[in-house]
Amino acid sequence: MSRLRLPLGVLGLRTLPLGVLPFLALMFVWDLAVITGWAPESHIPRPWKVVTTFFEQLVVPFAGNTLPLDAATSLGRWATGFALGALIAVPLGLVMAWVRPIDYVVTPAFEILRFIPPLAWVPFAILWFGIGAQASAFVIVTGVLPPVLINTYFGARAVPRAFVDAARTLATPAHRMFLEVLMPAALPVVVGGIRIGAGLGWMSLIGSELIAVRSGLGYKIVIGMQTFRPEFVISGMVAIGLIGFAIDVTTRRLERRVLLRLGQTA
Amino acid sequence: MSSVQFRSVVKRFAVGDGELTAIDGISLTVPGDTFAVIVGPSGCGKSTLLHMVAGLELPSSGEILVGDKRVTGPAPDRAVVFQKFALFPWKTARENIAFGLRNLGVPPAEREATVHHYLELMGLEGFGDRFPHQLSGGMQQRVAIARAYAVRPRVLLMDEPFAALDAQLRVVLQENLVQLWTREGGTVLFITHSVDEAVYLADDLVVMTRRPGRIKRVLDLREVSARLGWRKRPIEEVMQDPEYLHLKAEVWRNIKEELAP
Amino acid sequence: MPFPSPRLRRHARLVVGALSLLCVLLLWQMATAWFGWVKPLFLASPATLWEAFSTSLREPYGGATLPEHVLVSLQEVLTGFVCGVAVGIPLGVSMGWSPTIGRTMSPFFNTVRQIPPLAWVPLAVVWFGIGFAPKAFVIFIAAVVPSTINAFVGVRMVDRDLLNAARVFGAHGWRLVWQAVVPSAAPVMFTGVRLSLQISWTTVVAAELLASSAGLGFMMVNASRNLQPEFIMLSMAMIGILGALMTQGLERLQHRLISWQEPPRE
Repeated sequence: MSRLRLPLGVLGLRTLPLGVLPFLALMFVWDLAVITGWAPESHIPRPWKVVTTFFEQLVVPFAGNTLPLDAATSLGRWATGFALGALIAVPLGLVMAWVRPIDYVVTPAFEILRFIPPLAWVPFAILWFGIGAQASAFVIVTGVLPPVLINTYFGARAVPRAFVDAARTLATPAHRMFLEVLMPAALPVVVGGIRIGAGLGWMSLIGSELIAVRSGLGYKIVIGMQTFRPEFVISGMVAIGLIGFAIDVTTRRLERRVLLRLGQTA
Repeated sequence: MSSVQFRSVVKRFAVGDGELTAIDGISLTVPGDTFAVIVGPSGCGKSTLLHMVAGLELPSSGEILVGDKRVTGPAPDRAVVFQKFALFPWKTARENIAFGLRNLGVPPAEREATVHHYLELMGLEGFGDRFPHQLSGGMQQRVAIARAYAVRPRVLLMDEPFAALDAQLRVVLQENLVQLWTREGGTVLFITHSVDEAVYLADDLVVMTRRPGRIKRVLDLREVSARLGWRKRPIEEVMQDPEYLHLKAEVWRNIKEELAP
Repeated sequence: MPFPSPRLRRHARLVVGALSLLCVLLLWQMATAWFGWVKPLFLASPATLWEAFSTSLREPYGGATLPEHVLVSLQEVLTGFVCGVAVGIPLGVSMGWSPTIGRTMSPFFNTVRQIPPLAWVPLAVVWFGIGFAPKAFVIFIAAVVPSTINAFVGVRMVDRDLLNAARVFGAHGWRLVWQAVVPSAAPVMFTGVRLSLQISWTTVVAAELLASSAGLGFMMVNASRNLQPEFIMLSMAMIGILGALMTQGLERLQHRLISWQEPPRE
């Protein structure tokens, strides 16, 4: 990482990685804006206040729950929706890819529904399931399903003909063709779709929590908004960002592992 | 091993709103235990021909017989070595070679022995548990050849197997293939667009016209190659041999005629 | 086995697709209007939907007519989208072209983007109140990301040989960037712009659910509160259709502007 020479000898640091600069600049401008009164404190808390609020919430409940509890609730909902979405999308994608008639039937409906953003389903979700976990799960599934389905479908269709041909010349029975040839060949792309779906699912989850439920991180920041306490809003956003990041990193690692095991990556 | 007979084979493809004739009536007999090479300009249909023997495509009209049995679909008795290797990247070299044997119901002990035999034969002992991406191009192709031989095919089909390798490696593998074939025997149908390769390897050399593909000429090289001991001498020597060069020029002239616009 | 020609196959696809949609329509009508399988509260019949559509064209629903709602949403999207792309592309290009800028901005960018755009809504409301501004802001945040990323990737992926050729023939500095780098990176950048539009549209719907007094999302909230599924469906349909139209439009534009520079790919 590039370093910048600064006279920071007093702090025991000689140089600073470049990447830190924008953060420092942000903190500086932010604090300045609040101190000089250019930004009203009711609208933007001082940075330090956000930090303390964040740590406070680890033990003190706000909007009904502590931060870890709300985070766990959100994660739980996300996990449910994600698992459900993936469990529907992967088999469906495979079937659509390898059984032509089903492709012809399902694709038109899918192509149309796909243009409706996941959160546009929220009112219906509330109408059908009422406010609560089910509505949230439904919305998450609408976010997770499209990328996983699309990737699975295209991954399955893109299995190189040569593999199938080679397997055919070697008298491969149908079940082995599926398990040992088609699936491993399609898996990398499928896992890629799962990774994207995981991220989109998290976004849909947060969106649904802004509206359709009464707990979780999304709900927390809405309450922060309604009570005009921006420090809670920002610390909530940080928590959301951290979890989203963790999800991304984990799924990327998983993807890499799968690729390695399948010998698709040097 | 078996003979291969082509009887008035025609192959047409539907393209856009029309039709393309890839093969326009080919009749040919390749005797058993012969190393036959088909050479021709790009697009002449030689790969298509091979795919039809393999049963991966079917002729539009005419038929193909392998050892007097009509070809109706793919099977291990006509094993294929593909240009891009087509090794399963998620299986080790050993597992790739064993794949066909498993499908044929060969018991594990015998399978092991066969796989071991071919790994040794191809100079790959010690690499059996590697994945294809951990092997060089030349090694991968050797695994592919082993995989095809392991199922004891009646005809071995090779679709430009060395085209994806660099020039130096090609020469080495050509020599290895000759040694292997001298040892294991059998009928081989080999497709290439390299004239060098064709003249070096062939018993029967078939020259095709450009699309729509027909047979232009068949040369019998058995006598020349036996007399000059081509299969026993180092390849670099053979390729300097005046008779070899003469034949090469002749074949090339035939193909060049097909290349004129 | 005789092969169906590609033309026949295309026709078959269309026919089956159309039939499948017709079946869905029929089932829908049966379920809601004719046999009452589904309570009218949960799903509106096609007829009711059509009526909702035609009346709202002229009569206000939730304070404005349908075209007016559409206009509001479109304005928000276009503002945020245009600003986002206008910031994102130069940012991505400079990050990709200059390693220093890249190394400085990357960690910051990759961190901030972990926060889902919707999570910005509460903060935006605290800052800007309810109305046009918070939504345009959130959409801006959403639109910046894909444009930046794709511009970055596009610039990094430019063929070395091409750059060298340009240099040999006298292009330097900004000229080089403008004449060689940007055109090469254009296809990838355009895809980024398309993604920005998609995400802008997705976000506006969600943002309006939370903080609005007009627009398609607001229509949905209103319909949700008044238990009028036909208006929910109407909004969803409009959202889906407009989303599809915008995507198609951009795709056509992309083909016109960019593809003529490249030989058609088979």
